[in-house]
Amino acid sequence: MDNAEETTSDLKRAGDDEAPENGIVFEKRLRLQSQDHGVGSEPVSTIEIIPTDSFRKYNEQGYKAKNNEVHGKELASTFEEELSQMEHELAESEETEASYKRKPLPANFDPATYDMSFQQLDAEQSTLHGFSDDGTSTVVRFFGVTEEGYSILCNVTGFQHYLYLPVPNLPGTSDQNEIDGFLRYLNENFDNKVSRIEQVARQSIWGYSGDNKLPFWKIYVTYPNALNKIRTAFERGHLTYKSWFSSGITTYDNIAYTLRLMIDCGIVGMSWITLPKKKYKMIADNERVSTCQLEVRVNYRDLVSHEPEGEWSHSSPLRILSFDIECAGRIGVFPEPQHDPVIQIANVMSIAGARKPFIRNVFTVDSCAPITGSQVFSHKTEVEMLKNWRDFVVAADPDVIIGYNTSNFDFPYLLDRAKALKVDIFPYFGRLTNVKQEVKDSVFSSKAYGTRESKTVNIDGRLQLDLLQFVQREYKLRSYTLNAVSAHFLGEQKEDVHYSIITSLQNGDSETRRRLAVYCLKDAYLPLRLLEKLMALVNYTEMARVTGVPFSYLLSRGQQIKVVSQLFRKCLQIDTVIPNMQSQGSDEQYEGATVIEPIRGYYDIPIATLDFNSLYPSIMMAHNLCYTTLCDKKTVERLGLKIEEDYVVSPNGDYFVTSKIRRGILPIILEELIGARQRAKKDLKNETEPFKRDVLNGRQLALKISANSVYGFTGATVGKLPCLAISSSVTSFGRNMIMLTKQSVEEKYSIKNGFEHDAVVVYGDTDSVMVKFGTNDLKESMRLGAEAASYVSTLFKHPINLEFEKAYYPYLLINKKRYAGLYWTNPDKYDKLDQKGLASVRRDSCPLVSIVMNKVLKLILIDRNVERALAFIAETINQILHNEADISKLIISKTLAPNYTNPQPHAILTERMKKRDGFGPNVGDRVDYVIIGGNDKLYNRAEDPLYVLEHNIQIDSRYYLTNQLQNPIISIITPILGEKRANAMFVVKSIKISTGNMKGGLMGFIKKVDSCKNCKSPLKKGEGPLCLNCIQKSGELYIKSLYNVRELEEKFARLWTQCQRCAGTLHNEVLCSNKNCDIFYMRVKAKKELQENVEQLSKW
Amino acid sequence: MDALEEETFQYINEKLFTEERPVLFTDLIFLFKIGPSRSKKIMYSYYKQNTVTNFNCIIVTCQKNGIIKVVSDVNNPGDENSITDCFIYAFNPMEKFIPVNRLVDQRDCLSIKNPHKLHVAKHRSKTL
Amino acid sequence: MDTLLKKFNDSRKNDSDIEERILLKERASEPNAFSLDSSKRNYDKQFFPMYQHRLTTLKKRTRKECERKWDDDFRLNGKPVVMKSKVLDIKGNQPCWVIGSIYCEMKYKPNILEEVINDVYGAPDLTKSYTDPEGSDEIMLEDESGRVLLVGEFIRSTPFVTGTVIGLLGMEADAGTFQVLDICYPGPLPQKPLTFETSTGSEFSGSPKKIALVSGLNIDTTSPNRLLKLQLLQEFLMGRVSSKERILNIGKVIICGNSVSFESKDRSCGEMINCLEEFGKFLGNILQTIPVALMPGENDPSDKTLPQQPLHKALLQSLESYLTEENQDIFDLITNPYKFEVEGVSILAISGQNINDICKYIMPYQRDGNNSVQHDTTEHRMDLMECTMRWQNIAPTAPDTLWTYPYQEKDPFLLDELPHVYIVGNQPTFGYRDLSIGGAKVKIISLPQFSSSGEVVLLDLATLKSEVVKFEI
Repeated sequence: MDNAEETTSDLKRAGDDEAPENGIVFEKRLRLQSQDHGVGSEPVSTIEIIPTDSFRKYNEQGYKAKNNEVHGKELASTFEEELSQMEHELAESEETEASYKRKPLPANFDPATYDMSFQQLDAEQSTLHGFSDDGTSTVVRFFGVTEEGYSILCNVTGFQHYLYLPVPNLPGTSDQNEIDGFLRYLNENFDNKVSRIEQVARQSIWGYSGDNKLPFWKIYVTYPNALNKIRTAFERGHLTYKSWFSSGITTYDNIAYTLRLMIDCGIVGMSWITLPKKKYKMIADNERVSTCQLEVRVNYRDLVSHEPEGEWSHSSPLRILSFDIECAGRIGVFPEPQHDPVIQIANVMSIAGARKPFIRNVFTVDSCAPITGSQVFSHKTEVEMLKNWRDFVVAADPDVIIGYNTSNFDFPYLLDRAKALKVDIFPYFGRLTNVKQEVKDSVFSSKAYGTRESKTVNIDGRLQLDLLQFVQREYKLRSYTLNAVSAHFLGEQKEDVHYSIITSLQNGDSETRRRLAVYCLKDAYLPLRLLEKLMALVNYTEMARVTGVPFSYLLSRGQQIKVVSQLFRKCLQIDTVIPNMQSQGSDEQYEGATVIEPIRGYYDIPIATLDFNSLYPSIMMAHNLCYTTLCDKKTVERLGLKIEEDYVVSPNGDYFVTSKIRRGILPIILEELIGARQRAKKDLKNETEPFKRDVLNGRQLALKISANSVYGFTGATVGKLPCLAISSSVTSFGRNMIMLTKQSVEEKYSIKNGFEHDAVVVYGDTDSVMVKFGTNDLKESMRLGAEAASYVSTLFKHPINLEFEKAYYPYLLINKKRYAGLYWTNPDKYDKLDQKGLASVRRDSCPLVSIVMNKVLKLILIDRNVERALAFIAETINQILHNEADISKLIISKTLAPNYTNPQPHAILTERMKKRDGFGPNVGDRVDYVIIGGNDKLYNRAEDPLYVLEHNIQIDSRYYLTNQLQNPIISIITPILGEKRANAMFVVKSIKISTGNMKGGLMGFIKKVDSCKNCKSPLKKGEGPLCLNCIQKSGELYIKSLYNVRELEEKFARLWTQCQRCAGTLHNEVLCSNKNCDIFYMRVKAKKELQENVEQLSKW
Repeated sequence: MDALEEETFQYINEKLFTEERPVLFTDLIFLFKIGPSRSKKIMYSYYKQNTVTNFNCIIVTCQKNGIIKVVSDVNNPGDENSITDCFIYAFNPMEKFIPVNRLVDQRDCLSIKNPHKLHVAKHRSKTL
Repeated sequence: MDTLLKKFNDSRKNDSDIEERILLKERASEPNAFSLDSSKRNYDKQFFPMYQHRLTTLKKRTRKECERKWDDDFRLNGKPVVMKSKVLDIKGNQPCWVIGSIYCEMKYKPNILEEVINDVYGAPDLTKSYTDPEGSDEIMLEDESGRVLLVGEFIRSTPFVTGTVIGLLGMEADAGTFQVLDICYPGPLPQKPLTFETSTGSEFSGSPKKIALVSGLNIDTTSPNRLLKLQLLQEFLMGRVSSKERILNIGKVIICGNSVSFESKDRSCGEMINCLEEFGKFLGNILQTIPVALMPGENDPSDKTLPQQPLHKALLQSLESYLTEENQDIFDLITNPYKFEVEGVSILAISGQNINDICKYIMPYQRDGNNSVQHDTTEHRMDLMECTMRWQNIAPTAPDTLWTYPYQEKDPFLLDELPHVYIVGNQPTFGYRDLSIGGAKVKIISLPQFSSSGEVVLLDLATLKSEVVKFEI
């Protein structure tokens, strides 16, 4: 499963790789998208890359004094002309009730003459009561949108669910009368739910035992829910009909009804479906169950499903709603829906791919002054607002609802609040008019993604995409607050208003409520921009298409369902069925990927890296490893198969027949995925239209991820179809290949073969080896690397391919999976500084650690200046000892959990803050702290950074040196200096710590006596700031003091004006409490220091 | 008059050739308590008598348009019709002239007097 | 050359007796709006009160002018033009006018956050212009309710800088944008009438009364040419060079900042002391014959933020005798900016940081010299000086890009009356312009840097005419 994570990282990395090409464009666009001007009016589309004239700044020479002031009236005709043009522009930007709704169906719409094509977004099982098609009332509902933007609910009818089981090899099982009797028996036991039994020829996916297909019974049911009971009865031997199944029998093809229908009809997630004219029926008005404009039914045989390629690769005009709520809270308490009202809801709605939102509004409780570019709906009561917001959602009819933490906060809060206020109509804003929205707790657990508790809300017919969940799943960041994420991906800092301030803004007047509304609109708008920037909708759409699962599965399910979907689709094509395995929690272990022991050190010569291209998928394809090719010794002997020609034995002893005998399903799936990816990448190269490029890029990434997850599927011990023989064979082949690569390279590139140096493999991991060819010349090393990769590739079966990808030069190899190097893909310019496994992003470190580590690595690897790196380390240590490090770099941040077994620094601090201030962080909040000096236990010496700044409290220098900085730094410099010298850098300094502390104490005492500002000797009565000896140097001394003040004056001014720009207002107080910001603590400190220094200067 | 010229010439000789330091026309004003006109005359007289001796002259011209110029090219002093005054500012024994300013109590040799009277402080400043 | 020397020196007139310089009647503003008591400064504040005060003050003046200009029966395209009291009250499809502060979002504005993130904070600031020639800059109108983006042809031909308060006529275009059709500045300010002595013709028959204006001495003890120019200036002011009768009429010299050359804090304090000692000699000599007012400039050892406070006495120890309150008539250490009256003429002087900052908003930096459009000209800079009079704020870009003290209840850079003379120091070249604004007349003087131009400006207080004395090496 590590591969899956690596691949997930590749998604981000691949996205980053796109940045250099598009960086300029994005940079320019981002300027236009500055948050500093009209809220909600920024352009959204990535297509618009050239500013229009209306945004272009003047370049002409400046103002000439108008000697004759012209009264406005004299310009009326010119004005009127311009206004006439402007009115046309304005016509479409007026938000009205009419503009929310989708455009109406044409009056002449007729199912008899209209081929209905729509992109389906979501699918769910349902029942059409009173209706029967082919004996079943069960339907799959597809919610979708047509090309013209009409919303549709399509009931697919007539599809009966089924299972397979092998025909028992017993007398009478081929007698039709006996079979009919069995059918009657089944119906007596299962309420007449079984419609028919069909005998078909199938083969099982599990194992190879010859090419013969066996007879299977295909049992159809009219109610899908009955299938589980029937399956259980068969497998546990509960059926006593003629003792056919008395000992229990494995059933085949256990899959949900919705997915079964999609697979059998060839429907993948987010694909287009066409309903041919005359083949579908409109649902009568009195039988409609939804707010969709179209409600139809069609038999599953009549609908036409399209592969999402070519003309069917585009998306329909999906409506995307992003919203954010603000709640008034009580002092010191995080808002609770039973007590704290929802006071504002901001909404921004856009059409996917469009340039800008077409709806921007905010619902408020109490009056709110108007906001240019947005519409304000004020209400007297919260109940009224909630009702109106619900009506707005139904009228605007979004296809996708996004937000930031809407799954765990905004939606649950709204529903709970409406319940507390007894707004009974509120929880009906899905597309099904009579289905109530409810909050359910869910626990998502996956080896790839870990375990996460969250809440889910059923909103039928509308996709949900919580950007917080998306970012948490796809990216590894230090912080997931909207501020941190916006800063990271959009390059923007955002003003952060603490929730305790929200209440006072609400309790002010229409002006302060307007300020809150502007803030709320920003919070609603940012998820929309993140969605666009991260291509979340595009990527997930393509993933749904490639893997065939509904969109909604992607956030709520793990990786396995995607492989299951592909596997079933492929098996359907070749008459193969999949057994319903009992998933045992097997304790069986198998050997993992090999690691060539690293030769630790600092290499100041090039290290070439040879990488296997998609190693595990390649192995599966090369050696035909699959469920369908898995064999055993007995079968091999029985069939007289020949080794290497008809079958292979993996290094761990498993048998697989070769593709000459049978092509495995997994290799076929992989070939198709990889082939499709090659085509997508080729198309991407030729495509120029930005949005289409995004789609193609999303597609090729989805294909890559899918290919890598196939291997993980076989190795999942708690899974749908675990097969350790396959996964352990893959890894054993991989191990052998790595070792063979090492031997071949070292053998060929040796002095005895005429080369100048003996090649040494200094390290190897799962799918790569790192080779020191010995030459100092980077170009030569790269050439040898490419040659060696080609040579080794010839030793392996197609499509296994070893590639030269990069060289590291220089290269710092610390340990297994821990290294750093300058990354070169061409000899002219390095690509980047690459590192793995170092402590840079450990979330329990203070930022200083990653800052220092990155700086040291840069000095060593980029500047090639080890001495300067050591000097920088010494300087940093010195700064810490003298309490000169910026406090924001020393902050440790942890989330407050409900209960702790042992005392935790941040928990103790929270209690102290609550006693001291009356309120403090709540469970779930992140708590920032620094460790201060003193002799108390560590967990009692955590303190709030602002408190430390205000009270000039001493930081515990020793803690930061020994517990934070020492190990990471020593791990980097030990390969260079040796262990003894590396440790010495920290040991010697310890002596100074206590000296500094004592000196500080003495200085504190001396400050109580008036002393000469220069030499500190005591002053006689009546003397000025300087003693008699120093007074001759007063000018020089004054200048030194003055320049301190000058520097601080500039710093103060720059910091606070920058905060003002970030807050997006000149006239209002900066309320920001964004502690993630790099200058948050700096501004507090600058203010304090400047005040002190100015007071000192005034004594001259 | 002649005695004064003699004294000043002697001073100039001492300064230029013994000490090898430049002589400014303001030096004559300070030391001999004469006016600027007289000082300029003396500089010119000395110049006339020592045309064969090796030293450089810093010559300044004043023009009608307000330009006060240090002549860099003695062969091309500019439009003579626009020049309203011309005098020798300094004699310099060195190749390069490094101006040295000195704070001098000149109250007894001023041409123009400050209309405000200086009040003498009775006590030392706190910081001085 | 010999003929010239002979012509003037053979028959030079004898020295006349010592004469007393003219005495000017002078009065400083009381209290000095730009004075900051060090012991009373408070930095536990933000900058928004300055903007609030500025908007409140200028909004009243601008509103009257807007109402006069776009009065009640004014219509556009048949629709009545309405006043909006708040920026975010602007609605679509409705022509209106509104008053607010301008905010400019520009690509190259100094950004300490970016510098800290990119680890380049503390490096020298090489910014020559904030504006992006590629056109990514944005101009917005803002008040306490929020901001809108300004669009339209009008804003391409009018200079806008952060912090100015103006009225704008227009209509909402795209959502959140405001298309500007006309502009209105704050209404006329009062101006003291020029006093009887100067307005009558009787004084013309007498001696003219002048002040000398100089800035940018940039004393550098390692630059011989600069030192020689300085000494020539010294002898000129003392009456030993050029016509004595001309110099008798100069009653005062005002030094408008950047007196010492100290542009990098990497230079040692010792070098600064050397420069100050050299400056002390110059001052000590000329103070014997002429009164001096000394203003700090950007590079002088004074505050970094505006307003800059006078130089401290500890820096000029050789002038100890003059540094008393009784002798303020002779040697006046003043703030930057500074406002005072002399011979009934009201003068406002600043050492030039304000215009230099405004230029960065307006003039793109030309990387190569090939561009035929010359942006930074005297006329253009004087246009901007004129703008500050119309905006009624001499430092509108403070505090956004021009660092300033965080005032709470006032903005000393706002004008409450028009001066007769407005002097901006440390400019590239000399220039002067007569500005007529609302019936009043303001003489604008662009004062060059002496170290590069060698120029001193003499201002005649009776005629307000200026002439230039130029020292050439």
